[in-house]
Amino acid sequence: MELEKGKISATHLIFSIGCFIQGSTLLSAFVISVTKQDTWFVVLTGFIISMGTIGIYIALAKMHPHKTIIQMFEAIFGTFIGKIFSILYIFYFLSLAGLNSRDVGNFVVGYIMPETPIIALLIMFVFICSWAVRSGIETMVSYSFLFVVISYIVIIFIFLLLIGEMNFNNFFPAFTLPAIKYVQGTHIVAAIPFSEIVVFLMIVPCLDNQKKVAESFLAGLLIGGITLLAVIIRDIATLGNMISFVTLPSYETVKLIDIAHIITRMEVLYAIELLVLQFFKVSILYYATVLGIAQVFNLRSYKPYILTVGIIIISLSIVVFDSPMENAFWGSTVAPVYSSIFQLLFPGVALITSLIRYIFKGIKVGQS
Amino acid sequence: MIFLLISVFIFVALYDIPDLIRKKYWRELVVFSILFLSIFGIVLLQFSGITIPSPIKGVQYILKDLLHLNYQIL
Repeated sequence: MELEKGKISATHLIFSIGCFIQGSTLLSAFVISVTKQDTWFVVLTGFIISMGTIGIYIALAKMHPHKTIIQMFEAIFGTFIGKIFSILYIFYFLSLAGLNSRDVGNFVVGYIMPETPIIALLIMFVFICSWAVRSGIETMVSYSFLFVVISYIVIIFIFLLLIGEMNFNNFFPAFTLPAIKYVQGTHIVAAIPFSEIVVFLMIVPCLDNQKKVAESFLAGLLIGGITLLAVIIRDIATLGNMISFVTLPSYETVKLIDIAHIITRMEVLYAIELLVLQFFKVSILYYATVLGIAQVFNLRSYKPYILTVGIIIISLSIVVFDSPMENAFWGSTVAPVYSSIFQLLFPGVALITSLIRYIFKGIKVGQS
Repeated sequence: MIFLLISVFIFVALYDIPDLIRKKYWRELVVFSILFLSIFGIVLLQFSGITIPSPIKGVQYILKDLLHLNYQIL
């Protein structure tokens, strides 16, 4: 029985993937604290490496058409082991949703409304996300184009206003850090913004033309990658050495806009962009969690679980870290390893297993 | 605060359960109840001042302190 009846077009998938990656763009401090002024370089290497991991997702989606990642694991490893993997994936999506909601909460409490308790913000934010999830995947992704356009307009606008503040000597000295830092930076960039689109393997079965999976993923990655690169270059050129000390580089960059004391205090632009993009990102993760739960337990509908999962996300994002510093430590040291388990290890094992089954048994796993 | 919390949970239950019963989705109702009651217990503990251990910190403990699969801050 089909859980999700909505159909999405390839264009919507492209813009959703782009929008999803842009959601992480604004919280680039994890990688900037590691590689400082050379971050633009690790963004490029991370982009190339994540093309490889996305190749795995595309191959999986091609071998198992009309299946979400949870159904794929059950088809490849059998019911029992498949369900263990699926529950781990649900935990992964849930933890990402919790962490991203917490990022929003930290941002609003830390910079805009310091007196407000974080739970009030989280309840409002997650409630809006649950509203989006309840309206179905078609409605959710059809906003992605608008969000991508809004964020591009905001980025270009800020770029133009900041041209006077930019100093391209800030990129020097280049390549002086120890080599391990570049490895770490590449890993962070590949794992945190780019390969998180493993969650779109939950949405691919809704694509009306299954042949367009590959180009949708790559085009979406390109949209997100260009944004990330542009934002990082802008921030480094504007902030210089200060960039590795601030928690939200883009926010500090936007604060510097001051044209004749008239056009100033543009932080609100950044705040709008962050909330819009994080809203989209959390709704996709939220949707994946709810759909995953429904598929693991073979349920006929996922709608009744939306509010309950929303409460789980709120509760998780309250307990997740005690302070933003712990969050930053997690982001730059442990999170890339944690994410890689789900982005590279499990899909890689699944791909190899299904290839072996395909070669030795001659059975096409996807059609069994 | 606890009163507010309980009323939120009652609202969620009243919002979701009648539809499940009307369609005779008994299996779904069982899964819903397990999920609902466990999260209700956890949130109730959280609101009465008991510190719930963070699952992410658990993952961090496994990866960082047991397996040493993390990067160092130099």
